[in-house]
Order: sequence, then C-alpha cells, then structure tokens
Amino acid sequence: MVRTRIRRTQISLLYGALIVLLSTLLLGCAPAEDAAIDRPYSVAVFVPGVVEGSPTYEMLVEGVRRAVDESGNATVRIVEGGFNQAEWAGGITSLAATGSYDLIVSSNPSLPEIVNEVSQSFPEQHFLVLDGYWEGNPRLRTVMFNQREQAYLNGYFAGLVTTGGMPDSNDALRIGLLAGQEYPMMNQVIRPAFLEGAQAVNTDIELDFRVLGNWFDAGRAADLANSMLDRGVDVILSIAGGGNQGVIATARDRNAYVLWFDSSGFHHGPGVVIGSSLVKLDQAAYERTLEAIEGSLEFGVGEVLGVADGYVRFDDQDPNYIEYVPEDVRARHADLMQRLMDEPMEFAIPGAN
Amino acid sequence: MSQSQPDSRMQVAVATIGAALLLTVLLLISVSSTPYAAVRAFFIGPFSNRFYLGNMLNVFSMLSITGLGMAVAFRAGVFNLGGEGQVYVSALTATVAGIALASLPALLGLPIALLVGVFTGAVIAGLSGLFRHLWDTDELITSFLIASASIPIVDYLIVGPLNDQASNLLTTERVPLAFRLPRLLAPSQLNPTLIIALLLLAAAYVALFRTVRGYEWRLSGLNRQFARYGGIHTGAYIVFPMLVSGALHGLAGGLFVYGTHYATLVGFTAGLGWNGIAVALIAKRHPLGVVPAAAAFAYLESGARIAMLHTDFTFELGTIIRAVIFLFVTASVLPKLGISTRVGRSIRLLFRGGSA
Amino acid sequence: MELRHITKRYLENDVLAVRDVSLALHAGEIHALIGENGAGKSTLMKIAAGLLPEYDGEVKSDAGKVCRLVQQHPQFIPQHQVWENLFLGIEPRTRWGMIDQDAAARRFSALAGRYAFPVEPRMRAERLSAAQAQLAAILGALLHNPDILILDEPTAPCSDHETALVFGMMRDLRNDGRAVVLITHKLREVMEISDRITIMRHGRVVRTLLTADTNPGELSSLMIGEDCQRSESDRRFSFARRDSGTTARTPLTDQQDPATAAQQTSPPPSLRAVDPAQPVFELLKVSLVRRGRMLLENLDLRLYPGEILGITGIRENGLEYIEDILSGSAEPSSGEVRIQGNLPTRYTPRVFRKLGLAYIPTDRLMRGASLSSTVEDNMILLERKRFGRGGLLNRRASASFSAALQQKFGITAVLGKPMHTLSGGNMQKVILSRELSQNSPVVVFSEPSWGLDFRSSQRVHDEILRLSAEGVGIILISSDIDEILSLADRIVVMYKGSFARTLHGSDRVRDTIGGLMLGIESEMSLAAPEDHNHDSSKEPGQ
Repeated sequence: MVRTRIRRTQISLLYGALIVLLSTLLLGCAPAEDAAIDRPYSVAVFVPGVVEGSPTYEMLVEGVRRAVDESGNATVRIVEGGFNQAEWAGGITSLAATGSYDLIVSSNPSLPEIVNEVSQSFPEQHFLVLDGYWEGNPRLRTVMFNQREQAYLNGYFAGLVTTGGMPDSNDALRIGLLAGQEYPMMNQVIRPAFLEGAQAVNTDIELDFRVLGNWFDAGRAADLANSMLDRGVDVILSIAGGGNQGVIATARDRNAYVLWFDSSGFHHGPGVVIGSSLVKLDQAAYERTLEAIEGSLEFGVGEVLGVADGYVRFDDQDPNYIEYVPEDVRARHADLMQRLMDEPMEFAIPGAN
Repeated sequence: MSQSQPDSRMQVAVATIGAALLLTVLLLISVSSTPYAAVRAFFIGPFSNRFYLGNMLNVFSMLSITGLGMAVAFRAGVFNLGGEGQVYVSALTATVAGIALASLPALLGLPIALLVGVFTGAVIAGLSGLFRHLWDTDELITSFLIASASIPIVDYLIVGPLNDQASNLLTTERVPLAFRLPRLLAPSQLNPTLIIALLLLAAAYVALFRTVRGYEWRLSGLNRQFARYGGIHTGAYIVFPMLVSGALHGLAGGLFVYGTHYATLVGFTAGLGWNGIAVALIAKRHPLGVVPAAAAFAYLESGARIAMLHTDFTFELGTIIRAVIFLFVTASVLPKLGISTRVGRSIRLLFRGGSA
Repeated sequence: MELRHITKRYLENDVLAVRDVSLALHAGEIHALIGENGAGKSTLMKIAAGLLPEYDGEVKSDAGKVCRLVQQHPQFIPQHQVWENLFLGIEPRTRWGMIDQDAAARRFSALAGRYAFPVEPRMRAERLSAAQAQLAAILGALLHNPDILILDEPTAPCSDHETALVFGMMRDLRNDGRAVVLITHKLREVMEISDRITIMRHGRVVRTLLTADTNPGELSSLMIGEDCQRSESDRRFSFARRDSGTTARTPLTDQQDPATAAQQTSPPPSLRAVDPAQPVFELLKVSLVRRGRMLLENLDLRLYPGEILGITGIRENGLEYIEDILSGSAEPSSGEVRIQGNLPTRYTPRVFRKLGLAYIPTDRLMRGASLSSTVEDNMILLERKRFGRGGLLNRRASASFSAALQQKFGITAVLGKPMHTLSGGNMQKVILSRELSQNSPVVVFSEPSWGLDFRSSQRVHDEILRLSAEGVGIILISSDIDEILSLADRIVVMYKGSFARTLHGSDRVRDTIGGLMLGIESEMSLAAPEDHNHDSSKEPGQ
C-alpha cells in the first residue's frame, strides 16, 4: 500500500514537472524576433545526407556559398538531413516551417517529389533542387543533368579500354558497373547508357552489373570487384560511395582499371582510376542561386543540362589522364565529346511528372 | 537488496535525463558559434510552433507504443530485442496489405491492414518466445537475430520487387489515400496514433495491475521460479508476452505507415525499436511510466533535431546527442533493475545492435 | 594465531553464525575443523583470514604473519589466463614497469611443479576443471607465501589422486613449520591428514582433540551432538502415544505391502475420511540423472496419511534433488511419482498441486516468495483464480483473504509492503499460511526451520504436528537431525543419492543417523538394538 503510494507520488511528481516545464517553455517562447524590414536574402541548403566525404554535396554547398558571398546581401545556412530518407521530408518541412528562408536549395533525384509535397503546406516557400526533375510546381525550380550523356561518356571510354586501349586490357569484352544500390536513375538511365556507350565501340561488349547494397562497405565491394575481374572484366565504373575504395584496391592488385562518376577521381588511384565523368553541379548551383538572389530565377520549370551546355564533362585535363591513357584513346574520346556537343542525347527522366 | 529503494531509482532516472541534458547543453555551447540560439532552439524549439509540437507529439506516440511493447515484455521477465526489426517488417506487410486491399472501404481496409502488421510483429516475436519455451533458446538472442536477419530482407523487398517505380526514393508504393490517418496539427505529422497510444497505455495498465492474468504475468517476471512453484503456467508467460510485445511493435509499424509516412521507406524506423527499450527502462517498465519517459525522449530528440535545423549544428552532433541520451539512460537504468547476466547481455547486445 | 571469543552475527538474515569461539592455531600443525553444514566453520575461518570485517572478539597474530584462505568454490575471471587471475595485484614487473608475464608464469610453474599440481599458467581459467580450479586457487594462496593456510573443503571436487596431491602439499607446509587449517566434513580425510581436530556445532566449538586420541565414531557423534537424544525420544513418542493410544506407532516400511501395513498399523482415531491404508504419496523406483551423473538412484518411498516422514542427509548427497522430485520441480529420469494414487500428467508444480500437494521450499527467497511483490500478492498466489471476476482482480476480496491469513498465523507485516521487508520468521509464516490454506492431503516441508530463531521454528514444528494429527501426510526434508528426530515417525537417510536406510522406532538413534549420513555406517556396526523391522527396512543394494 505504502509502496504503491510512493510510486504514485513519484509518477505524479514527474507528470507535474513535465507540465511545469511545458508551460514555462510555452510562455517563455512567445515573442520570437520578427523579420527585419530590410533583411538579407536568406538561403538554406538542405543536404540529404552528410557533406563530409560526398563530392556532390561539397559541390552543392560550395556553389551556393559562392553565390551568396558574391551577392553581398545574402546569408546561407547548411542543414544536414542524414541518411534516413524518411526524415528528409520532415527536415524540409521544418525548414519551410520556420518561414525565415527565401530559398531552400537541395540536391537529389528524390527531392523534387518530397519538396512538391511539402510545398502544398507552405505554398509561399521557394525551392531550388539540383540533380532532380520536376515541372509544374510554381515555387519549385529543378536543374537536372543529362546523366544519360554522362554514363554514355563513361561507357564509351570503358569500351575503348576493354577493346585493348590500355596496356592491361584483356581479351574478353566485358565491362563492369558496381552500384551502391539500385534506384530508378541507375536502372533506367545510367546502366543502359553505360552499356550503350561501350557498344558504340564494339557491339559485342557485355556488361557485368553488380549491386553493393549500401554506400560504404569497401570490403564487400572489393569482393564483388574480384568476382567481376574473375569473369573477364578489365574496367569497372564504380558508383558506390565509400565502397569505391574497395574497388580501387582490387583493381590495383590485379592490374585492372576503374572509372569515376560525378567528380574527378584520379587522385584516389593514379594509374588505376583512368577516367572521370564530371558534373558541374557547383557551377549550376552557383548560377541558379545567384539568379534567385537577384530575383531573376524562373520557377515552375525543370531544365536539363548536358554536354552541349558545358555542365556534363569528361575530365581530360587531369595530368593522370594524360600520363596514363594512350593518346589515341584520348583522341577517340575527345571525338565523342565533340559529337555530343553537336548532337545532345535524348534524356528520358525516370519518374518525371 | 537492490530493490529496497524505489525512490532512489526514480531519482536515478531523473538524474540521468538531467545529466544527458547538461551534457547536451555543454556540447551545444562549446561547438556552436551561436550558443544561445542553439540552446534556445534545443530547449524551446519543440514548443515554438504547431509544426514542431505536432512532430514531437508524433514521436512521442510512436515511442509510447514501442516503449509499451518493451515494457510488457520486461514485466514478464522476457526480453524482446527485436523491436526494431518487428516494426520494420510489420510496416512493410501492413503497407502491402493496404495496397492490395485498396478497393475495400477504408473502415474495413485500414483495420485489416493494421491487423496484418500486428499479426506480423506478433509472429516474429512469438517465434522467439516459442523457441525459448520449446528448446530453451534464449529469446533475447533469437529475437535479436530474427529481427536483424529480417531487416535486410525488407530492405531488399523495398529496393527490389516492391519498389515504387515512380519515385526516386527507396520506398514502396504509397498506401491508398482513403486509408491514411488524418493529420491533427497539419502540416506536422501528428495523427490519431497519439490517441491510440494513450488508450493502449491505459489498457495495458489495467491488464497488468488489475487482472488475474496480469498478476500472473507480473509474477512470472518478478520471480519465474516462484510463479512456477505457485502453479502458474510460466511457459505461457514466455510465449504470450513475446506475442503481445511483437503485436505492439507490429501495430507501431502499421501506424507509422498509415499515420506518418504512408509508405515503407528503407530504414525509416530509425531506432524506433531501440529507443523503445530505453523508454521502457526509464519508465521502470510501468505502462504509466511510459508517458513521461516517452515524452522526455521525444522532447530531447526533437530538441536535437531542431537545434540542427536552426544553428550550425551538424548532423553528426545531433546523432551524438541522441546517442548520449540513449547511453546515459540505458547505462544508468539497466543495472538498477537488478544485476543479472541476462541484463548484462542485453546491454552488450543493445549497443552492438544500436550502433550497427 | 589465536582467535579469542569470536562472535559473528549476519545482519542480513540475523543468523548467529559463530558464538563466542576461541581457537589457537599452531605452527607446524595441520588442524582440521569439522562440523555439519552451518556449524560456523567457514565463517570463523573467514574472520581468521580477515575477510569478514565486522565481528566481536579478537584475532591475535604475530605481526607480519600472512594468513590466506582458499575458499570453497574458487572464483576466477573466466576469460583470463590462470596466472593473470592469481597474480592480480602482485604482478611481477619488468624494469619498465610492465607486467612480466614470463616471470609470473615461471614462478607459477615452479610452484605447481613442486607439488605436481597439473595446472598450466597460460590456460584460460574457464577451461579449468573443478579440481584444477581448486588446485590453482591453492597455488594462488601459496604465491603469497602464507604462514597460515586455510583450506575450505579443498578436496570436494578432487579425485583420490588429486586429494593425495593436496595432502602432500599440506604435509610439506607443515614440515616447513607453517600452520594449515583444513575445513571438511569428510572424517576419513581428517583421520588421515590432521594432527588436531576441532569440532564445531551450532556456531560453537564442541571440543578440540588430538587426532591420535580419537576415532570416526566419536567425531561423528560430537559433530551431530548427543545432548538432545533424551528430549527427542520423549517428545516424539509422547506425541505418537497421544495419537494412537498405544505405544509407539508401528512404523510402515517401504517394502511392505500396504495391506499388511494396514493390519499392523493402528491408525490414530483422528484420521477421518482418508483411507489410512492408501499411501497419499509414493515414489516408485525414482532415479534422476543429469549430464550423465546419477543424482538420485532408485528411490522408493510411501507416505501414509497422518505420517511424518523425515528425509535427512548431508548436503550434496541428494537432498536438494529429492526436494525437486517431491515438489514436481524436476522430472525423474526413470520411475514414477504418485500423489493420492494418481500419476501426474506432467512433472510440474502446477500438476502436483492439483493432485493435492503443498510444498514449503528450502529456498524461501527465490522459490517460496517473490521478494519485490507485496505480502498480499505472495499470499494470494494459490487462490488468485478465486479473486478473478470477469478477468479483473477483485482487490477487496483478496485483501480480506490475506488479512484473515495474517491473523490466523500471527504474521507481523504490512500486507501492502514488499515481501523483502519481512523478517525470516514472518516470511516463513506467510509461506506456511499460503500453502496450508489449501488443505492439501500431502505437505512437503523442506528445511522448514532453517535460519529461523527458536520461537519461529517452534511455531513451524507445532504446525507440522497439528497437520499430522489431522491426518495430513507430511514429508519433512531436513539436514537438522534434531528437527528430524523430534518430529518424524520414520527417518530416511540419504547418502550419495540413495536412501541409505529407513529407520524407525528405537532405531532412530543419533549415532546411527550420523554414521549413515557420513557413509560410515559399516564401521559404526549399528549398535542400536535390533527391532523386528530392521532387516526389511534395509534398502536393497545397501
């Protein structure tokens, strides 16, 4: 009896404390400072992941920062949303709910759908999403890169390598692609375009496609790379985040080659990483953010930028590229670049509304 | 005797949360360039607008259900370490059921879908109970293993066969519009799960403390040897509590889908099951204790998240703070529950599992 | 070393373990300390070794003398190597202050080699056998180079060979001019190795004598005590007389046909509905094997209404297992149990209770009570179903039920307080009140007065006699010979998992029991007068 009474008292005390805490906080937070009349343009960058270690997001942040610095009358806050996709909507909503940002910038193919949904609750909020595509939301501007062209560039280069372009190329006409996970862009664009590019060199080339299942397990990535090499693959396009390191290690041990995606990767393994396709995300982020600050950015549209626009490239300036890749291969790839400049490829965006 | 000072145990729980808060404040102050704003965002943020308040309450309702799921198992002296996986798998089955039943009226379809989730969770956890009863395998280990093994399977199903081809997210298709629970404090995620959670807590309290079965249930947890000696079918109070615990986690999974996310996304449970353990422990395994415990946890979580949004607080720091809270709570409350090797093992498993 | 007027009371359970004991230990001597379980031997030696800080009295020893105690079940950190366990705190250091593993291992090996103890220093402690662990612990004590070495039941896990090694080591120490104390209850070992013997009983020293001057028979009776012999016969037989109106009730033997037994027995007039000829409880050829070890072997037993059957023996001879068998807590490996003629469908306490058995367990704290539950919750355990109304627990009814029990048994307690707030005596009363509220025809008592003060155990004994008078069949498991002698009609002595002998009537002599308990009955030549049941009462194979 006495004991239960003690326990009851304790619990009611705790409830009491909770209520007191709640009410003080509610009272205490009433007058939030209101927007100044002539306040600077305020930008928030929502990173769906973590900046550190992600070249794409580093480019995103750098591009937006540059625009903000240059404009002189703008501020920027970087918010990391972490890896749980389910929490991204909450993160974006939270940012929108503060009402203190003129523009929320983000980057990821899956963000437009999230943003479009959040936008229903906060119709005044403007968004800029790079690396994603959406048309028709009057407050949402998207900038997409022609990843078909990008994968095609990698594929064509892989085709040149596996057909004997490099000293350690083997006789088998097999190229490899390791993906961190399967996602629409990977399955519907990158994978077919990579093979398409290779087959533009030789129609007999086959693709060995593997999925790591995550974006960090370098050990398993090395195993998968080994298995690919066992089956005659001599060049692997690795799009596996932290897993890429495992692929490089295997390729180095067994004299195979690795291709990089999205950013320049030569420094990760000189002589092993022999090709990198580039996306000028920083440039796009910079330009569109600056336009937004200046008030000239058009919303409600989705643009696609490709080789011809100068936003998708192949890194042919890196000294490692020039040192390790024979001149004739480089020349043939430069021809391809020129072809794409003249004739951009059609890009069917998966999941486009 | 370890149980001789119930009030000191409560003090420990309160002191723990206090210490976690203090450490958080110190972290905020030392790391942030705008310490005042950071502390303010952390503490006041969750109450600063409807959106944050609603989200916090939603976290609270989810944690209440998983915390209750753990508490009822702990009350019977069984350990369900598979809560995380149970929530996840059940969310998926409830999602699939809802999509398959889209043609039914919501009043019929939604309960069926939720029941599918409940059933899934109950089966997964119940298996561990059954194994313990039949072959004396440790339900602590088996529930952990079964749940851990099921998580990658769900991941695969979401990414593979059940993937929503129209979305770039790693997600299933969304459940029918009619089935979705209404939002209570739009645009926040708060939904009727809150009411369901509170009703469940009250029901659990009555069942445990005011019924004969509850008496047997608690006695089996307090002293299984004594319960067996008294003619209580203790085997049943291994299997049954695991079933109920799993069912509650299954319900949490279903409600998470139909109330919060409308689909199952890869990894979206994000510690709901693990934090349920911490909640149950702070609550002293008492259904009514779950309310303040889940509230405290939800508050701290929301505070960390808001501080992250409003200040130069990085994602890792937010994670660290959540981990600190979890660590403090489990480390300080667990040993007070009575020193036993089972508890010791559960701590080790918790941290291995929690960090994975 | 000298111990003077040592008294030790354990505060946790209020047991007076050692009462005003004085003892002198001499260098160059092996001193055996013998006595029954709970006689206070281990407590006294822990005090001598300085392991128990709180006691009354004085421990005198010369400055600088090292005294080490090797406890009965040595504990090691299982994942660590043997040497790491033993050198904890005295690790040899290298010049750099690092632990010198090799030096430690060498020192250990040298010591082990000296006594031919088969223990490797680098072995992980968890891989040690029980005997090896014991030897390792002894070596650990020797590393401290003790002047006085106390060994608590060192040979319990040892085979003859290992026992010989331990004895060799003890002699070596003695010849080296050190004092060795051997705590044991194995009389054979005492006679073989010791120089002097101190016998303890109930916390007191009964006598100290030279080994050369004594024999196992004398030791046995000193250990078990002779002072109560008078009172036991008075008490028990006056009770029996009161019941039957004749002289001592003719005891029933296990081998007898129940029909014949019925003719021989003149049942007490108070026996009512129950058929006195039908056993209320039977064990038929019950054996218990666990992990290949025969714990109980071929036990036969019949209990008749109104009878008090005592089962006694020394710990580790099967008393704890027979308790489990009798209560349904363990399933026999072979043989069967019958309660009121019925075979249990399953061997669980639940089924046993349904068949009419109540049970007061030895382990009151774990099995007999739920310490963190309220007193009331402890009382209603068996009646819980009665208080259920539509599934809900009727707290008002359960409270009045508990209050009634409290009054009937005179329990000093607050019903709403946790069980652990109660004294040992009241706790036992709660357990009794609960078990006896069922009016079961069979009640198993196991060590019912263990740890209780005189008044409380008196109450328990009165209760047992009252039940017996009402015709309840009672099995009393007790290692307390006084208790058994004063209550039981028949006494079964367990030795190494078997019933060594069933004794009744005038057979029930302390010396005989003591000898049977220690397994030396053959030497004891059973001086007790023959009675007509004697031969038939012997277990086959004994």
